[in-house]
Amino acid sequence: MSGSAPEESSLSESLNFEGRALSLEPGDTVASALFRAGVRTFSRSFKYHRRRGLYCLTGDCPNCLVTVDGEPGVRACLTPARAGQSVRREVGWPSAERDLLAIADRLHWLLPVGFYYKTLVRPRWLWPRVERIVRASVGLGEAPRATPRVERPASHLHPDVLVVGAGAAGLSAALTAAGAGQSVVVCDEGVPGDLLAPGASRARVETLAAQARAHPRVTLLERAPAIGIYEGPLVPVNAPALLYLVHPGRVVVATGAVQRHGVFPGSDLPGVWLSRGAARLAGAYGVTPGTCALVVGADVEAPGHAETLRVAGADVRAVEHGTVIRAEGRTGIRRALVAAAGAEEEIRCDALVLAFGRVPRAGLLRQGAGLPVVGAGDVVDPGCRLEAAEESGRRAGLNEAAAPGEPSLPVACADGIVCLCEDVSAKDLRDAWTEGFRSVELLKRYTTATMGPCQGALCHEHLRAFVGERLGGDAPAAGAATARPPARGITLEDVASGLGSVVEARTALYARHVEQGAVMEPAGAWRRPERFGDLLDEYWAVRRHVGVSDVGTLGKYLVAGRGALEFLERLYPCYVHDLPEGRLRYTLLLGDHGYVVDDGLVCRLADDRFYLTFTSGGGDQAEAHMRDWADAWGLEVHLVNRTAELGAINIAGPGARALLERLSADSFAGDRFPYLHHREVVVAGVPCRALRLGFVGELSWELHHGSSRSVELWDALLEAGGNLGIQPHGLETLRLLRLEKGHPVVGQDTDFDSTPAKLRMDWAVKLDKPAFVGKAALVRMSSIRLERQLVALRFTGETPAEGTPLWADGRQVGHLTSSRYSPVLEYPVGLGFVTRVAGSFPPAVTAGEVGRLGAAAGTVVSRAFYDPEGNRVRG
Amino acid sequence: VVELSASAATVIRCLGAPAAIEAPHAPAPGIPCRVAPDELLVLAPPDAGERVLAGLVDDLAGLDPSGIALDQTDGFSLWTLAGEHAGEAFARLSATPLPALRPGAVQGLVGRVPAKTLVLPGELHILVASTVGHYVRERILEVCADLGVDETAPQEFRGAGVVV
Repeated sequence: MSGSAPEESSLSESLNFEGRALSLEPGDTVASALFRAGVRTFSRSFKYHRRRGLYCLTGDCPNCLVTVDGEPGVRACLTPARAGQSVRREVGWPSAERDLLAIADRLHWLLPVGFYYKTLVRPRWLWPRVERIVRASVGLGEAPRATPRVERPASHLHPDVLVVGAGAAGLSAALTAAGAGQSVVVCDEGVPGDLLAPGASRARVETLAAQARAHPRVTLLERAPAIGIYEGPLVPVNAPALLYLVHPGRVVVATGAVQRHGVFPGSDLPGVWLSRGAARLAGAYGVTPGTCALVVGADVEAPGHAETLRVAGADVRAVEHGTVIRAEGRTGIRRALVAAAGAEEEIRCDALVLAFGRVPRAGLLRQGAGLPVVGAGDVVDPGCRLEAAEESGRRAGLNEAAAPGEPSLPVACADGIVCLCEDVSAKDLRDAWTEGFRSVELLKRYTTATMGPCQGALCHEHLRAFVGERLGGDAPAAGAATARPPARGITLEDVASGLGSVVEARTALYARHVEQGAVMEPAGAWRRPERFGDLLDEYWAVRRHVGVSDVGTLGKYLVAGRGALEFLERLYPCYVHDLPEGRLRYTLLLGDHGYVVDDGLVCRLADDRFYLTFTSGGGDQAEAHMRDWADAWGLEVHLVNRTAELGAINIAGPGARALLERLSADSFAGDRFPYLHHREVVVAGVPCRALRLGFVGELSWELHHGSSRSVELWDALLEAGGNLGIQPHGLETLRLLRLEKGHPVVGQDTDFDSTPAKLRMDWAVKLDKPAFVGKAALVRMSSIRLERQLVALRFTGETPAEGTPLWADGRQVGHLTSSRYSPVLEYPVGLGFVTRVAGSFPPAVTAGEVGRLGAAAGTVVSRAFYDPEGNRVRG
Repeated sequence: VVELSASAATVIRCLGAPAAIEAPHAPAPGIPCRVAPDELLVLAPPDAGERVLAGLVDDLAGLDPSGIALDQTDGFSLWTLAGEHAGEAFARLSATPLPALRPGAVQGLVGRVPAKTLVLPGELHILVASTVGHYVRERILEVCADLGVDETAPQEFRGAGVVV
């Protein structure tokens, strides 16, 4: 069949190859279908656009990478062919068959090893343009565009043993371990036996696979390559339907061996084969790789492979103990110069079949160094016979580690392509060595050999041989390149398996907000109302009437126990011991570096019991911070997170008191319920802890209550406030209201090193306390002049955007952290960091992007723009 | 098939000195789970919640007067998985291995959300913060769609026993 014309077929039995319908046979892979149809050039090489044809047929080389149904980088030799599939080659202009870019193969002098480090450096403006050209011309597929979002699931498995590789060794290991009562998962990138040529070995593997499938403690995952071995060990296994994250007790790596890659001039011509690939094509798919096959090499499998080719109809000549000096041909091999028994002979052939022995496919084994990972079969004893592989597997199944053998290295290559993936030649290695890159790892990084899709499966040992020869011909002395995941190519979709969504927290009022037409926005982990309707209506409702907002997102904690007071006294920079029951206090939370971590309230409930609040986004961090200190101090203190359990609704505005008194028998009068007090009340029949505070600068209470009653309370407030001008409001109104009061928001108006002094909040810190978290750092820093400070700014002109640079004396002195136009003040206000100019903080700044200086002039003012005396909140 | 249902349960958090938490009375019905050296989480049928809470408060008062027993039912969502593929569904959502013994309990992320999972014969109960309960349900429905998720009517938690 070799060389026959492409067969046209009906679409139902064919795949589409670059516009042609190619017929399929049962069991075909994409590679076998294309080869049967006469395709010989499967790809063009990465850099020089050299023709590449089928070579290994075991997924170990880059030659058959094609685009299948829009997905680039698919190994045609491992991918089952399906009717209707669309297949195209990935590179070549105007086509892979007639590629004008192959001129690059004559311009090696222009593209020396490491050229990207040496050239295209200057002029810098040229590089982005050249980069586009380089990207368009290199032998890589095109990333799919407008691909629909597909969420791949991930699943976790926890077997006692994971066996990677379902060959004779791997399956023997699995059956032995399962026989000893252990749970076993076996994964293989193909179907067991599928990559072997028909014969005794394949039959034995299929028998073992049948036993494994029938065993109750064995799970066999087919077409599921292991991606890598991570700490744990954790082994991601990429199965067709989902990504398995396997957490085994131990791992047996039985990934076998790959046949030794031949490196000589012309070794990458189409028609040069590794013998397993050629035999598989002939034996499994009934397609001979050529009519005149020359088999060179003394591998133990070579006679069998030669016989398979002969049976398939090829005229076979075998040169058992010979080497190939070069292969020649234009679009494929036509002749080879072979040396054997001291003589050289030129032999005509259209298939040169290499049987030079085997090298371990040991990438995963090397990744597993230091972890409970053992090897079995060819991967530790390349070239071992079937019985030895099974025995090795049985020992590994019992966790008897076999010491990896150190196979002899090949003769260091003199000429030819060493790394098929990256087009690295023997000359490139010599040039790199001359330039001083004199180890396997340095050569790898400089030349990129071993860094392509095959991850060094073919070229790594040639790289080692090259180095070993120069260091004395010693294999261990040559060392090895670091093996890293992924061992096999994976898609971005695979990487994202199981991560297709963002955790979104909602308060109990979420559904009600949506019903009421709120525009929701992400706020940290939360989804919160940004607004319900017109922002100005919401704003004026708070300033003139009454507004309600959902603040159930606040971090809420109970701290109790005999050590609770001592704990908080050490934790907070404010005094806590003088806080009587029923009172609350604003406080900062500092790290031991003295920087502000969060802020919130501390409410005293009893002698040994406190209720704390933190910012909406800061609760988890504050909790971790508190638990760390509680552990460190060893105090008898209990910490209960009540964030999800308790809802909270803020009622603010001149009408807040009237509204609450309509719904409650409790008094909210100023003398009965003063500012900065809290108490238990019942509002609309809902038990609440009411906290009187003033974040937005108006008379206000927060009602903290069981979240299962949030909707009931919210509805009651809105209904009762109907004739008081009540409006629900969202975050945007809240941001404006608090800014008019000059309150900074942690995370927005602070940065990673904001001390209280930097925020002009020294008043919240009592340095005369004996000790608190961050005190030592603050004392040290108090002797250092403050160079940067958060200031309040009143602007004239347009409202500058948040983040706008601030300027003084012609240089940038800071940036705006918050800014809004204040409807009640009728001018823009903001907070921003400024640095000193000529020894002092500038009294005035301008805000504007570079080139637009002076767009808004700002004057530094006292912090609170609105009601600076606080009469409204205390009313 | 995986059966998914929301379960109603009273959730009581009990904090106290380790010795006090070590020997609380076994609330019946209900299942106490030790989740930290000084912390016990008790799941009880809704109609028994008050009785169980009162019992714990009494016990704790005698053993550790500064201990706390608190009904935090509002803070949690409880999702129950049952059916042949319940374990597979859980494995798609969590890296945490399930305990071999029943009743058993494990703590760890489920659908990237902190969770406590109670494993009873034939069913798994996943306890997560009520603020992310909707998210966990959506994840189960999405990630396990090919397993055939059958969402059944809410039920009342009826577990009893002591976690092994």
